[in-house]
Amino acid sequence: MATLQDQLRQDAASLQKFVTSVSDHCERRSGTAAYLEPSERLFSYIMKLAESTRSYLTRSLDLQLDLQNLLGLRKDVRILRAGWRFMHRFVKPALDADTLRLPSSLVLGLTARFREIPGFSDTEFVICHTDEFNYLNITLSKLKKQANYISESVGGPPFPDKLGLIGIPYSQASSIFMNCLIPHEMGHHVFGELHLVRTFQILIEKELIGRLGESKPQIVECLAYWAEEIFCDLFAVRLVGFCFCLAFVELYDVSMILDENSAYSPGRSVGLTEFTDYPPDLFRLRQQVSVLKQDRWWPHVEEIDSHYVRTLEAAGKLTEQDFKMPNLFNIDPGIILAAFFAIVPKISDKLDEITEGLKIETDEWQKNDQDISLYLQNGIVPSSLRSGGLTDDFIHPKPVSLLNASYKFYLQGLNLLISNIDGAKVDNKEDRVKWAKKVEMWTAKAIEDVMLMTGGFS
Amino acid sequence: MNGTQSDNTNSLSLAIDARKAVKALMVSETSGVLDDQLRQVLADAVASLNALNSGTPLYSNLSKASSFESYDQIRAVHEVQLAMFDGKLAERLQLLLTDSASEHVHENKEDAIRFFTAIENRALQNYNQSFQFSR
Repeated sequence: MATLQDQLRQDAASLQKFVTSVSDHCERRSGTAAYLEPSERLFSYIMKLAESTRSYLTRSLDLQLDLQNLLGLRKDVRILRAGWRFMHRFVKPALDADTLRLPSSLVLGLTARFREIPGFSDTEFVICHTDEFNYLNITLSKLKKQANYISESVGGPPFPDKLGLIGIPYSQASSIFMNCLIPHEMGHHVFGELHLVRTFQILIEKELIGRLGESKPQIVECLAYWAEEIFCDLFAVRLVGFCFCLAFVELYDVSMILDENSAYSPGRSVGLTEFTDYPPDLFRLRQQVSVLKQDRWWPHVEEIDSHYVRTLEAAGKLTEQDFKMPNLFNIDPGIILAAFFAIVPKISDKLDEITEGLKIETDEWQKNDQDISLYLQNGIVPSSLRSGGLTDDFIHPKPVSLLNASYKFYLQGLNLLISNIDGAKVDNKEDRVKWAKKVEMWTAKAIEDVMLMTGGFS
Repeated sequence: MNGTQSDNTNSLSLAIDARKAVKALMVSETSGVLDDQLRQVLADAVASLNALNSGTPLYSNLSKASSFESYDQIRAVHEVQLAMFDGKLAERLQLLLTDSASEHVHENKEDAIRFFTAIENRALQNYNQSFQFSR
């Protein structure tokens, strides 16, 4: 029978083999792939943490530990392995997202915009790929906790400060419009960093105790999750404007709620107005429209000739009475929804508080929208707009203006571009696909140019 | 957009906090002192148990980064409490916080170590099961 010391040597060797298998992916990453600087920071951190783990295991086995401490070390090995399994899950997704497989200019443009929020001026984001068609945020407060536990245990480096992780579908590297959903994930980062979950848990618990007479943690958790999703939607609209809402409608095909006259159809919306694990899409859109109105986008948005906008219009007109929830908790769902609806204005208040001082880009977009559209219509990258007259002055529209103007052009101006192309037809689906992609490429190039010309990459 | 993590990281957080608590309790057996972090974890565990047992407010009584807040964490605590057949557990954990001179302090610490060890094991098991192949 092997001694306890021998058994631990086996356990430590097994753990080291696993840790090395993870860090090897970072160390031996392809020389032909380039990564944005935040990803490089993450890989460097993983490699240092692995080295510290190996050293810790060597040191611990060299010590003459008593029985109690040997048994304690075995437990440490177990929890370290669990921690490394957690790290395992995002190493390859981050390695897969090299600069050729990322909308790099968009990521940098959105990060620059995000950094205008007070208190987040030095935040960076690592973008990972996900296999599912879903955008997600790896909650930094949780990731940090696991990573720093490993680090404290083995005497390794702390998790890089101000580093957020966002997952995007691997297939969307060249998409600009669909990636307008990334700001929602940035909202999750803010929510986690400011510990807003606790703020809302307390508010929700008070509402529930007021209505039910006792705390119900399962319901609090559910409602706090709804609150987080709504917060992140509103955050995204505040950050980038209506392009987020259009991408949302497009991704989830929410326009199916419309009838043949582009009017809201309650019959077609059956099942789409119920709160379950998530708030329903129509409620989310309703709240997004409220920020579009608050930030003065809406009068311009409602003029856009698109069924996506008619969908927003319809959602914006829904009332709280239009939404229901099934009896998930054996408690009158009306009471639970009433508690949540009482919280919703507080989500907006919190957003206003966090983004106080952030410049809303409505005016800048409005000033440049027509010119950007004209450039795209003529196949020109809209990074330097003539400021008017015969001067040599140019305007470099900001990423938010470019995204909103381009999305609007994609929805209502694509025909104008296609009609300018020899042999292309507006009623040909393949031509629409081809030239919509071109619009995305020109927009991405414009964002890159503008970032370069205005020092946004520095 | 829909969901953030589905890998039971809350369970890993709970296991980590429980492991830290066990280590700190063992140190305190010789030093006789409860450090601030341990006091916080004990207080969070008491708040969680009280909310489970009597429906008292939970979230306003938890520390900022508590691992006793999400429903799967609370459920793990509840399961451990049931398995220990100990209806007075919250009281004895509370006593550790308020009465360090009690004649039962050693006994209460031993109970606390058993409780947090069980939490660690249960939480890690939940975490591991989230990775297992579906049947």
